[in-house]
Parts: sequence; structure tokens; C-alpha cells
Amino acid sequence: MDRSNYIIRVRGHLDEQWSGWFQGMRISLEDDGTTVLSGYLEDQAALFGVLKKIRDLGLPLLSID
Amino acid sequence: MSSPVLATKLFIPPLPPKVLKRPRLMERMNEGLHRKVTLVSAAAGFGKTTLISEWVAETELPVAWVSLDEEHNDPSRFLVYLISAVQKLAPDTCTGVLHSLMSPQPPPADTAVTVVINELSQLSLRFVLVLDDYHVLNALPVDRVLTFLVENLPPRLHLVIASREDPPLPLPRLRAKGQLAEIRAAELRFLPGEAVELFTTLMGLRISENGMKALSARTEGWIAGLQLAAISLQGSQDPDQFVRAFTGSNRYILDYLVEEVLLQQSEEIQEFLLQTSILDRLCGPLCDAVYGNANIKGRDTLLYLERSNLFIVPLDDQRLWFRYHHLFAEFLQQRLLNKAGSISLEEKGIVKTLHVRASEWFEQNNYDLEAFQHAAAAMDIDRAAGLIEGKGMPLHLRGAVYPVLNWLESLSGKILKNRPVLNIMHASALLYVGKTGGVEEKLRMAEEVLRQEEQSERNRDLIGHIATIRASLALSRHDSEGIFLQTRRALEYLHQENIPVRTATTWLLGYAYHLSQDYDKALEHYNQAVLVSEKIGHFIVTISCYLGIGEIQELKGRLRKAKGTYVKILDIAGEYPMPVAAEAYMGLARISYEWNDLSAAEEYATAGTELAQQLENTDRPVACDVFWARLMCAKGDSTAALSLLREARETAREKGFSRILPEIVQARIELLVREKQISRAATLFDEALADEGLATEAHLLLCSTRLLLAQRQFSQALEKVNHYCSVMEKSFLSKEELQGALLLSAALYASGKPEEAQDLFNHLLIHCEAEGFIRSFVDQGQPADALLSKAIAQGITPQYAEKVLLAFHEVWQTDGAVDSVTEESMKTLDQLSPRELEVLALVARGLSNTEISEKLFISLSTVKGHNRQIFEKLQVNRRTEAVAKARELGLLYTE
Repeated sequence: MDRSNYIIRVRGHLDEQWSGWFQGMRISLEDDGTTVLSGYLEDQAALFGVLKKIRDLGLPLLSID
Repeated sequence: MSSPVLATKLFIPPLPPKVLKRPRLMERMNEGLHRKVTLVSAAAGFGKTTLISEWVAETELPVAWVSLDEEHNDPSRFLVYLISAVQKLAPDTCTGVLHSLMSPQPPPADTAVTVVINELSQLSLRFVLVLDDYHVLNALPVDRVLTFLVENLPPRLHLVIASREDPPLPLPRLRAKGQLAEIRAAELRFLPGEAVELFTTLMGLRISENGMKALSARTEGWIAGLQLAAISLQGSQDPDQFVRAFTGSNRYILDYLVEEVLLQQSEEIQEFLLQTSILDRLCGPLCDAVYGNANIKGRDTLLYLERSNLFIVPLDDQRLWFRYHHLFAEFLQQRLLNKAGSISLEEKGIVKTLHVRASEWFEQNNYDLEAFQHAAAAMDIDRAAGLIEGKGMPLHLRGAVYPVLNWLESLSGKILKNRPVLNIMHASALLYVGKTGGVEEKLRMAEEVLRQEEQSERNRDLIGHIATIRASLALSRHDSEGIFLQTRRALEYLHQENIPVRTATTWLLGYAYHLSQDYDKALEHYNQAVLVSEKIGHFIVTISCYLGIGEIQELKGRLRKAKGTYVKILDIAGEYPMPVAAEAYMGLARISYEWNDLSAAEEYATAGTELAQQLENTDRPVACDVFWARLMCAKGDSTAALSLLREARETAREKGFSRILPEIVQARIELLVREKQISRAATLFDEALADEGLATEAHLLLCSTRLLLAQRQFSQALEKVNHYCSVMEKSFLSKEELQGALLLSAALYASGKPEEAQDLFNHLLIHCEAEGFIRSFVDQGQPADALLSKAIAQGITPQYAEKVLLAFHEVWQTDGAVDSVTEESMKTLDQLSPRELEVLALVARGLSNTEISEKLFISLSTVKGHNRQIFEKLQVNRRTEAVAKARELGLLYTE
């Protein structure tokens, strides 16, 4: 029952073209200059995969819900 | 045989041509030397590696460097690289452990790391070890190795770890103890002054103060951002215009800047960067193979990129190998994928094509592991499969078992279904790491496909390989018939030139003969497989054969030869051998025990047990326990020996190791008889008899004879072992035969035939002199002393017999000085009949006379008669007194 909806917020506007890198999470650009990744992730492993990608790209991570 | 150590991963990255001096951070690094560990932890692009290499260039201390990557998720490989790095400073350290770590069956990392720490602690050299990019590791075993290393860090070693995330070390504890120096993002960021210096002094850019401020604010001192901005600005006519556009954009800084930088390069260079971004390391010829544009020479381009500060890091002094800065490579790869995805279907295949080209180049240049990794990345299944298969010796036998297994396990059933080779390799790799579950299933899948195809030479070879793997499975079940069946099939089908698998099959066949006690045939096959496997370096087969040879030599009583064989195994296995070498140590322990060298026996058994415990799903650790029980008993601690044997039996039953049960029973009975707990031994024996399957073993025949002798039923004992008379004609005696013959001579002696006994005994002495057997004679107890003395008097092997007699006196003096209770119990035991002992046991369990009569199918008056006898013999008047007395004399069996 790990499958859940996650909302991840990073600083900066990320290009749409990155969406394929985040397990199909939606990318939406907010007016406050942040980017929100949202969508269902299969399990915790998928979540950590996304977080690792964020880490590797040096994206400043703001929050996870 | 194992994958080589790539020097490029041990190369200390040189400083980029234009680098900003950062004295405040150098200061911090130097201060860090007073602590055990310096941790440089910050996100990508904060200049961690550059900072450390700047410091390395300045410090006077020698430095060993490992650039970690995914290969090091295997703890053995991690240690291999760690040692190789240190050996650049101290070539003679850890050579033994390195050798065994690179062997096909490396010792467990937990053991190896202890050795490494011990050896490093002995170095007089003060030095620094840098582990760069620790974040790429995500395997628990490696984290454990690192934690252990940090907690037991040799005093003259300082560790520097660079990582994008905090490593899984007990950081708070290290901080609290003042053992950790940290340099984190806050310190690494460029201060405004440093940013100005980078732009103006180093890059020669003219930029306004406001522009500079805006840049610093926008990048927050993030070095990768500032550097990219500086590179972009190099071609810009109006830097401030660039800054305004940049600061106004909400786009992710790196997206924006990498694009700017790329756009300044020629299209060919852009394309070069994108297409080679799939490579973890690059050299000219490799780039030529992958990019394949005649206008662009790989090596020249790489040198140009270095000159242009384009995020490329040299990996050796000759500037043959380079890698892209990781962050840069990740962005290039992303662009490559998007480009491939957005244009057309044909171009979508470009990434795959690039990986295939890389794989081909690595294969041609004998970098098998990287060839495989690129084939896997290309999802070129057949290519990857071929690379795993290798030229006879599969990749997983060449030190890459985990990458291979991980890849195979990531494949979907659909892909595997039609590829027999992959299923066979999967089965073989699983067996290699000691997993038998799932192996048969893989073989069936492979077979199903092969059955539908025509019988080509290749398919016949695969069918043969399947049979060999099945033979290994049969071996794990000790099923000799199964091994015969499968090896016969394997040798018929395997290609003549598939020498690695054929030689493994020959060994398996030898083992089947060994199991079915056809020792000559077994030796013949073992020797044949040794010859071939030594030549091709298939060490697992060589060692397995020598183990079989040693065991047979030992069994035939050729102790000296067996010792030589076991020593040879340890030589081959190296200083820190693989777990299967446990058997060689245990063999040496058994031989030392026989020669009555108990301290050597203990030493060997300690080493053997340590290794045996790393063998999964085998009865070997239990076999070690049985040996330890004998050893403890010999050293006078029979209580510990008995409890060890009880535990051994529980474990063997629990895990279904039925083959070893008779040996345990025998050891327990011998021990109990030795301790004069005859009724207990008898009960145990009856239990074992009732347990079907145990009764037929030679072990139990020996037990029953021993028991009958102890119960003074000499004629029955004699009957039991009489057929051992034939030993007189034999050229060799097995351990069991020797024991049987010794029991026979004891039985003859006790039944009033001392001359026959002596004849047999003398024969045995002559037979055993050359190999120096001692404990077999001594452990029998009486009447060996009388027989030995007589032999000496008769001039039969006088020196040898003297030696054995001396040992006999030493052993039996200590626990042979029979205490009064045992003496009395012996007498009483003689007097109590087996039936009376039986009744006594039931009395002790609180049964009434009526209950006893029902249980034993005898009349009440008979029970009462027995009771009277018992009371009289024990000189008591009441049931409770009888029980108490019997307990005191050890006549009752209490578990």
C-alpha cells in the first residue's frame, strides 16, 4: 500500500522536457519561481529514485508532501 | 581472472588550468587532519572534487585516491580499489588480502576489512585516503565496511570523504567525539569576492559591479552556475545584457546555462559532447568509435575541451582518459535523450546505437565488464548475453557476479523466455553465489526453447551446460546417481572446446565416484580436472578437486599425503582464502588431532570454523562442532563437549542435514562411554536404532560394539566386529576399519584371547607406524596400554609404540584417575542387569509398580522382584533412595 500521491517542490523553473526523468510526475511551473512535481509513485523505491535525481541535478529541494 | 583494477579510478584529478585559490578552505582542510575523518558534503556543482585536489596539491602528506562508481557497490571491489590506491604509496601492504579479494570466490568483506585495517595500522607512513563521490554507493554491505573502517581507523590514516549526501556513518557520534571535520555547502559557496576574482582575474571578463552582484545573488554562490555563466560570457559582447537576461529568467539555472554554453560551440562539438555523454570515461579512440565523425578527432577534441574549461577531468598523467564533470554529463545525457525522443523514430535508436558502439569498442579492447555494462544499457540483450558467456569462462566467474545477477534479475520474463543462454547463465550465477532455489526453473525455461530449435552445435553445447548445472544441483543434494546421469549427458553434449565447463564436469563426475566410494575412479577424475583447470586458471575447480583428493587420502589413512594436499589448497587459496577452503583447514585439524598435536589442531579448527560459518546451507559448520566436541573432550572438558554435540544434533535435525547425524550420534556415544554414563549411551543408541536409516551406518556398528564392550558383554561384542578380521589382508585401512580392528582386539582381549588380540594389535601398529597414528589408539582406552607394553616387550615397532604409550598415559592419567563414584558406579552397573536398569529408569520417572508391569509386559511380581534386586545391589531400602543413589552414581539418564 505504498502507492501514494506525492507533491515535490523545487526551486527554479524546470523545463517540461525533464518530465521523463521523474517517473512520469507532472511538472508545473508556479508563479513564485518554483516547480512542483506531482503524481502517483508506485512505492518508496520510486520516490527515492526521484529524490536521487533531484539531488544529482543539484535542484534545491523545498518540500515533499 | 578477476576484472582488472582501472588505474583511471585511482588517479588524483589534477587541478584545472585556471583555478581559484581558496586559502580559507585550505585552512579548514588542514585543520581537519587533527580529526579522523573530513567530510566534504554538498550538492552537485559545489566544487568538492576541485577543492580536495587543490588541497592534495598543497599538502605534504602522501594521498591515495579512489573515484568511486557503481562497480564499488560490491564490497569486495570496494576493498580491492581501496587497497590498490594505498598500494600506490605502500606497495607491500595488504598484498595477500588483495590477492584473495580478486580471486573468484573472495572472502567476505567483513573478514577482509579487518585484515586490511590490521595491515594498514602497521604502516609507519602517515597518509590520507580520499573517497570521492561516495553518494554513488547505495549498498548496505559497503556502508558497513566503511563504518567499520571509520570506527577502527588506523591512527596514521586520515580519511576524506566527498559526497552529494551525508554518508550513512554515525555522524553525530563522530561529531560528539570531535573526530569529524566537515565542509558543507555553506562553506563551499563562492563568497562575492571569490566570484569577482573568478570572473575578472581568472577569466579576464569585464563585468559591472551590479552585474556581478546580480549573478552572485542569482546563483547563491553555486560554483557550477558561476562557472557556466563565466564560460558563456567569454563570447559575449555585452556581459551586462547577458546578466540581465539570466537574472530575469525563472528557469532552472543549469538548464539555462548549459544551453548557453553549448550554443557557443560549433555544431560538431555540440554533437560530440552529446553523443559521448553516455560514456563514464572517454579516450580518443573510444570517442572516435562512438561518435564516428571523420572531421573530428576524438583525442584532439578532448584536449580542446580541457583547454576550454568545458567540465572535463583528466584521469591520468598522459591525458589519455578523461571524464566529464558528473553534473555536466547528466545534463548532456538529458539533452541527448530529449533530442533523440523529439525528432524521429530512427533517431530514437541513436542512444542505443551509441551504447552498442561503446560496448563493441570496450570488448575489442578487453574491458569485458564495461562492454557488458554498455550492452546492458543499450538493452542489446543478445550482445550482453554473449558478453556474459565470454569465451568459455562466464563473466560472473571473472569477478562480476553481482552486476550480472542484478541485470539478469531486472529483465522481464518475456525477454528471458526465448533466450536459453540467459537462463543458463542466470542459473550458473545463482549457483555460484550459493543459491539453489530457482535454478531448476531457469534450466527448464532454457530447455523448453532449445527443444523447439534445431540441434545445432551451439545448442548441443547449451544442453550440455544445462546438464552440468543439474549435476551441481545433484551435488548439493549428495545425490551421486543424479550426478552420474547429468555428467554423462553433459560430456556427451558439451562442445570439445568448452574447456571450462568440461573440466568442471569432470570434477563433478569425480565427486560422484567419491560419494559412491569408488575412490580410484574418483582420484582419476580429480587428477584429470586438476591438470586442465590449473592450466586455464579455473581455481574453483582446482581447489574442489584437491579437497576431494585430500579427503580420500585421509580416508585411506595416508595422513602425510593428505596433509600435503591440504597445505597446497591453502597455498592456492592465498593468505585469506575463500570459504570452501574451510575443509582444508578442518582436514589439517583432524590430522593434527590424530598426531596428538592438540594446539595445532585447535589453531586449524579455529581458522576452519571461521570460514565454514560463511558457507550457507551446508552441514559444514555442524561438522566443525563435532570436531570441536572431540577436541574439548581430549582437553578434558566433556561437559562442554556434550552440550556442543547436543546443539549440533538440534541444528542438524532442524536444517535436515541427515548425512551428518550418524557422526554426531557416534561422537556422543563414544563420549558417554568414556564418561562411564553407560545407560545414557545405551538409551541414545536405542534411539538412533529406532531412527530408520541410521542403523545401517558403519558408525553405528562401531558404537554398538563399544557399548557392548562397556557393558561387558564380550562375546556379543566379538560377534559384532568379527568381520573386521579381514583387515589383516588389506593394503590400507579406513578410519572406521582401524577403529573396528582396535575394538576387535579389545574384545578378543576381554574374552580371554589375549594372544589373538596381541597379534591383531601388533599388525595394526606396524600398519600405522609410517603415518604416525596416535589418538586412534589412545582414545580407545584400555586395554591399549597393556597391548602396547606387550608389543614393546616383543620388539614390535618399539619406538612408535613407546610414543603412543606415553600419550596414552598422559591422556588417561588426567581423567583416567577414576574417582570413587565412577568406580562404584562401574561395579554397580556390572551388577545391575539391563532389565533392572530399565526398571530403575521407570521408577525414577515416578511410575508405579503396576504401571511398570504394564509398560514392560511383565507381571507385577516380576517387577517387585527386580525392585528387590535393585535395592539390594544399591544397598537402599526405598524407591526414593534407589533413585537418589542411582542419580548420584550417574546410572540414570537425565536429559
